[in-house]
Amino acid sequence: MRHHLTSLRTALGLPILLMGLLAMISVVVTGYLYRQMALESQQLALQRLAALEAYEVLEQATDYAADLALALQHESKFRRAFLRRADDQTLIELINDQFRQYFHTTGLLKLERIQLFDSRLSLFLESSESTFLSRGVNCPHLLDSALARTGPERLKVVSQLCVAGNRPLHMVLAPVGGLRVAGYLGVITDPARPLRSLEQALGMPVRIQYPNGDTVYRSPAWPSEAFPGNTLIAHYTLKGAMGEPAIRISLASDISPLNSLLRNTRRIVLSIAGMLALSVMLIVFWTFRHTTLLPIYQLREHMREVNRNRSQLATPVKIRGIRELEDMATDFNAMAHELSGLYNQLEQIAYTDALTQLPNRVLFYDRLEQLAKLCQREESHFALLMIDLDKFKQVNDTLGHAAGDELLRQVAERIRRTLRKSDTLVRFTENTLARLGGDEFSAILPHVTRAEDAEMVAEKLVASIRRAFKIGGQPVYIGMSIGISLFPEHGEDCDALVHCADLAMYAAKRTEKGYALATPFHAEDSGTYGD
Amino acid sequence: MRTGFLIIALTAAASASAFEPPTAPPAVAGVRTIDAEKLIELAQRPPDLLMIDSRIAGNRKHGYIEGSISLPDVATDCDSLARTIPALDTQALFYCNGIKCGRSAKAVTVARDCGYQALYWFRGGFEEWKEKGYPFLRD
Repeated sequence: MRHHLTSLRTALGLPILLMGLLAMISVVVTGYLYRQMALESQQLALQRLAALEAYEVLEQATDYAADLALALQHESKFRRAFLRRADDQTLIELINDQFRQYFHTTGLLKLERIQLFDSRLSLFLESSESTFLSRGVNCPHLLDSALARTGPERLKVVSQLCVAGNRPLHMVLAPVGGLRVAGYLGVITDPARPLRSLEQALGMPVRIQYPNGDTVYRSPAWPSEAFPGNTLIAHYTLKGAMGEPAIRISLASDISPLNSLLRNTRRIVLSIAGMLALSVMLIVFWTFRHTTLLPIYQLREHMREVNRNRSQLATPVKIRGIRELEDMATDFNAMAHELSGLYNQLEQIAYTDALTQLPNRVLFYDRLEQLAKLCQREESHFALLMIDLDKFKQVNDTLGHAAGDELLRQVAERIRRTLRKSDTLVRFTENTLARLGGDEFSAILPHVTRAEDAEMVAEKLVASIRRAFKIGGQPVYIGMSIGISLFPEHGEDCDALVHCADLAMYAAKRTEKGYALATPFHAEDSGTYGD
Repeated sequence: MRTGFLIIALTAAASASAFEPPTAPPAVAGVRTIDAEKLIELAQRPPDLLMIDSRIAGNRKHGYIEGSISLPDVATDCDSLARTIPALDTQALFYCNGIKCGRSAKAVTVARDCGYQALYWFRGGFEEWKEKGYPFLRD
């Protein structure tokens, strides 16, 4: 029984539980996706920031290089030597000297080489100071694009990132000779040096790498690999003239505040979702319980009750729930009502003698057995009368079956009336008198405990039958023989009791008074008395 | 009382615009107005172009066009011009800080009135020069 109860709840609870679980999972997944999106967008923002700052730094480096070129030209010695292009030694000394001057020594520029070009951009002299660079042209694309310029454009300072020997270079080309361009000064620097300033500018650890992956600079505060979850690393690669990677800048952003914020948000969202799911579950359960579950249980209980006790069929079941169930109960009640009527009718047919409307033999034995059991339990007494009509066969033979039937009906009515008259003794009920078949009747007297009382009732009955009956306008006279047995004196079971009464009834036929009490002889004959 | 102050304040605000430095006129009659590129073109071909920086001398530490001579507008008159420009038909150009600066316009007008014939006015001035990325010197 519990199994069904559980399964009904489970049938509802499981889907809701699953829904709740799905909601939780979707919250977690959404949270994760949002975190990824937030991190990605932050990474993108960092990349943009890095790009912006890096270009600013390179712009600044270009300005410094242009300033260096102007400062160099300011020296008339340089100007003269450059324009005459006769005194190479002086020029080399002057450009070499820049490696010991302001811009280089203060770290604003990390000079790699200074080169001098004529107005057709042919290299004619370069500094002998250099860390690694081979002599000759390093950033040919810059020279090509500078050469392609015409008119006033040729006066402008141009710069470019390029890669030579796996090392990034920043080359700035500044005109020499004022408004009448006589040549160009190429300032080649290491761009990685000024890019270190990103650390201060952005306020976060920076790592700078060459295209081959060599790290040239790493902030002291660069995070260790131990806590990858709390650091967001964004990379930005500065490209050379041909789109080749020149410098890789990495920024490390501390995202532990973001992480803890996300964690807290997720916890709050999860709690809210959990509480919501629980509330929905409870509400659905409560509603379902009151509209469906309880009415179904009620209906089921009623059906069981009906199954145990058919008489309950007549009792309508009342439930309050969803309309469908109420309709079902109404239909059930209608059906049960009809069934109850049918049962009663069937019972009537099965337990009633059609002619006299008295209980028949089946019901009589049933009653007798019940009473015997009850009296056995309560150690009380009752009397049984077996009644047989005398001369009935003659009436039947001479006046016909119809007359016989009419006589039986009248006899039944007369016995009933007589018993009802002696109600103080008999306490007449409908089932007290039965027709066992033919002209045989029987009466159970549940409250008669003494033989004398039983005999008194029998005497009254015999007397009442001896009065004339009127059948088809003719007076008809018959007699009656009654055998009396007492419970438990004459038998403790029904068969013995009936047998004793039968024997007494046969004995009575031979007497004048028409009734006889069962004797020990009768009881012995029935096999129970005196055991 | 308060209304009175308000009126005074509004009047003061309105009159303040009168003391702002004047914007240079779009052109000066009898003078050719040119831009940076025309300046370079003139400077790169003969005859020589004489460039006159009409700003006060202190401005030159922030940068000046290479080859220009400092002659502040306040000191510009026929005498000083005669000392600076060799002949009345010499190509002479005037510039100052830019269109918000009235000095070169004033100076070139003086030069015109003094009888100089080949006058150029670089209206955009040093602002335009620097903006366009052309090289300059600093004192």
